[in-house]
Amino acid sequence: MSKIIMTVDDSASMRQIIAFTLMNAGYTVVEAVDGQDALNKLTGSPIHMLITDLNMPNVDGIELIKKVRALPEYRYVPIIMLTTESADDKKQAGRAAGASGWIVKPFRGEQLVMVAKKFLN
Amino acid sequence: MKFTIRQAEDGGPLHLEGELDIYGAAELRAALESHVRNASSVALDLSDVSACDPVAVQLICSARRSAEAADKPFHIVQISAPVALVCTALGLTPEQLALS
Amino acid sequence: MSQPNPVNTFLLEAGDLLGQIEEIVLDVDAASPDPEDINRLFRAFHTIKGSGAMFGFDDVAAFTHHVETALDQVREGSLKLSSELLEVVLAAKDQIKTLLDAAQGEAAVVPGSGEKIIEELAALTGHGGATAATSTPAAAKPAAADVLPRQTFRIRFRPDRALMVSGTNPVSLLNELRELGECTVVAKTDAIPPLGEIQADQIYFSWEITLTTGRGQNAIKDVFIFVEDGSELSIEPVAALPIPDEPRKTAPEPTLAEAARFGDLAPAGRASALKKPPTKDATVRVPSEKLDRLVNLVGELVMNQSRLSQVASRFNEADLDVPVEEIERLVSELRDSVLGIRMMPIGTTFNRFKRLVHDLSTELGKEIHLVTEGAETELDKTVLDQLGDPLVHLIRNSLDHGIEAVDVREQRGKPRQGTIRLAAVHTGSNVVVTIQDDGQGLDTAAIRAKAVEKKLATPDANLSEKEVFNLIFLPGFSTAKAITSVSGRGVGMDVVKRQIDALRGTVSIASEVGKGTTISLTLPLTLAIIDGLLVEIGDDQFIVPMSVVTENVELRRSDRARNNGRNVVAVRGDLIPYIHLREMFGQEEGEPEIEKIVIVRHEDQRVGLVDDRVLGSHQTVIQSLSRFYRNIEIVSGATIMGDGRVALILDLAGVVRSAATISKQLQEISV
Repeated sequence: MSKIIMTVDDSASMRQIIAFTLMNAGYTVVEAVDGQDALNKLTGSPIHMLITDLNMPNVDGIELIKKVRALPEYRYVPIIMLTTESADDKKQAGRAAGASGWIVKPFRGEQLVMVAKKFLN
Repeated sequence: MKFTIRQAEDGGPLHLEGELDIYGAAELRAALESHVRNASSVALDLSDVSACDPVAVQLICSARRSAEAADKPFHIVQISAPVALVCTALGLTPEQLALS
Repeated sequence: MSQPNPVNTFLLEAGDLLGQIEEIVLDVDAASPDPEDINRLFRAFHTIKGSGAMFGFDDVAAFTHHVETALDQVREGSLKLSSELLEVVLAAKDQIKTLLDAAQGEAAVVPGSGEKIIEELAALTGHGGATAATSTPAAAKPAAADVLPRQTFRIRFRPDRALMVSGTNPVSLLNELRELGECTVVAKTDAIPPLGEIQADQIYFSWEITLTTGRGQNAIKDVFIFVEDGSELSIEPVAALPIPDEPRKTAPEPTLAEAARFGDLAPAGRASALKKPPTKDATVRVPSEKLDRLVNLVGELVMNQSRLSQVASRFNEADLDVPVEEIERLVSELRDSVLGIRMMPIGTTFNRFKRLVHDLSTELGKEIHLVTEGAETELDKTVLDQLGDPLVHLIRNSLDHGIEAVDVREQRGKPRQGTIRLAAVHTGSNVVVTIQDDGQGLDTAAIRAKAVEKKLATPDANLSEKEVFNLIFLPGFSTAKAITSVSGRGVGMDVVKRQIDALRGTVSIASEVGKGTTISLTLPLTLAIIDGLLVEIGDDQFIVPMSVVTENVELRRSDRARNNGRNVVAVRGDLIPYIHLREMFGQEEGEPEIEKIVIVRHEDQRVGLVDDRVLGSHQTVIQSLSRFYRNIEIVSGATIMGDGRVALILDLAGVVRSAATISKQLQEISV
């Protein structure tokens, strides 16, 4: 059974390219369109890693990270934030909320896979 | 809890079975603590551990520290392949783990 | 089944977003805007920028960046929304549409139009305008080959105690370092407190790591990029060691073939004195660790190539098929060439024994002649290196126990001089090495008596000749009546058997009383890569060496019940005992309704290995296992799969040994 990664992004094209890249690297991908959708889909199902955008409607990325870290079954799951801002404050806010790492958009597929491998090896 | 604990009535090694990881770390800590307190000689059988993470390995090292502080012999009877994999990856030696 | 093209998805999505932008701009009340409208506006431009950059619309991303920045200021309250700003936003939206259409060849961009909008934005926001969007490098850099000179680093890493709490498993970090080069990891446990004081989810380990890599210090830093905060990390280059790049020598070393001819016993001086004048560039000497690394890399390439082929076959895309097939061919040629570099003629090893036979026969007062055949037969260097000891032992045995004393030979009408024939021959993917002597042969009665005396067999056991011969491989068996200095030092044939097993080889004996004994060692050509059958039990994957697999059959739960719990299955009339791998690996629960049995051949018997699923053939690069595995006899190695998971390689002999019941059933059936 391959590792399951949830990608949370309100952009369908981003979700698609992330899913496409990760599936080709052998992972199983679950998609969520925003933080609320992610939280709904998280209940009970095994997720080995979460990749989330930060700017999203409903529950945004930072809030999602905080909420996931408060769920007992997902407390220690690696969470990667996708950000277009390289700005440090956003990154720090994500770190403080409990993110494990980040990827700055735009990124190449291989970079995404490398980061996934970094946490799921 | 994703792991179970067994121990023969006449003492003998504490047999841990299942997944030892960070999600069950508190329970594992409690189980090890009570075993170290009650046994005259601490022995762990990890041959049926199906998955294991650094936190669990660390608790085993911690149990060894506790046992030695209480002047009780400590050893690990047997480990499973997943335990061996994690220990190897962490750069631990069998001696550090008191593997007999 | 065609995969949607993400670029098209992006274009559709961008169209939607631009529509939303227009709607909001036309609706919003500039004097007292709804904050959620501003958020939506911001997010729309944000997504266009982010995704645009992902799909190669760099001009779109760079342009959108300016609008996004302005809207971010509005969002944060540092800039007031105005009808002028909304006008510019609307113009920007049209500009983005034009840029996207232009990219598809459906429109032309008016030169300077974008710059004009950016200037208007700058005037409104009070910022110096046209600084291009800074494209920042992503956290992780793409994998680079060794480009820098190889250097050794000492790394000390004491992670933030909360490492695992924030989702990072140190095992992943350490494995990532291992991928950079040769790596020694030493764990420090001194900071781990006793159970009463430990916080169970914190990390108290620290590590000292020595890493030799050609990727440079930055590649090491990248490994720790997400965990630097709160961790103690030092990465120091260690004073450069001389070597690995072989220093140029004035007098070239002997070539491999020459080395083979002179053998290891030849004094170095003699070897170089007899050397032919060197042919220019005929041979390059390379440290074997470099070769090992090359083999590992090729192994990974082979695995990834087979993944690629798998993925490509799913797409059914002719444009993809051709290059994928070509890569398949190239990788396979590359693999053969690389493995070929490691191949060395067995003659080097054979020549060691001429001297040995000469010295020992003198000591024993026997006259023995060593004949070698097939010295040019090539074997993987690793196999060759490990073959020396068992061969020495077998030859000593022949000298000591096999070939008779001169007077005995004369009495029996044999030539005074005994002969030991050492031969090597290729048979497909194996090399068979035979040690043949024209001595007295094995005495089955003596072996039997000895085995009974040593309690290795019962007096009434009904054993075939072959089974009797196999008794000498049992630990604790030794037929030498007196301990001589040549053999009988307590190292028996069981050690030879173990050494050959470790090479994934097999040993067989043929013997005829009075005529002699032949011992055959069947060895794999290489230890680096094997063809395996990948099977799955629950979530765990295992590799069964393909060379022993004969067929696969299904096992239904009803079949199991029918045999009254006896673990046998009927295959075309034959009853074949099977081993339930789930039981062996302690996963009794969750087996599927229909399981698969992989039938393998083990020492002239067929045995079934029951697993959940057979995933197909898999070329496997073998990683050796550490000392932790010394007691795990059912596993001979491990391999890293393409997705980073570890599959264990089953040691068939060990599996059969460890399934205690199966051996009993094997006997029941064979009798």
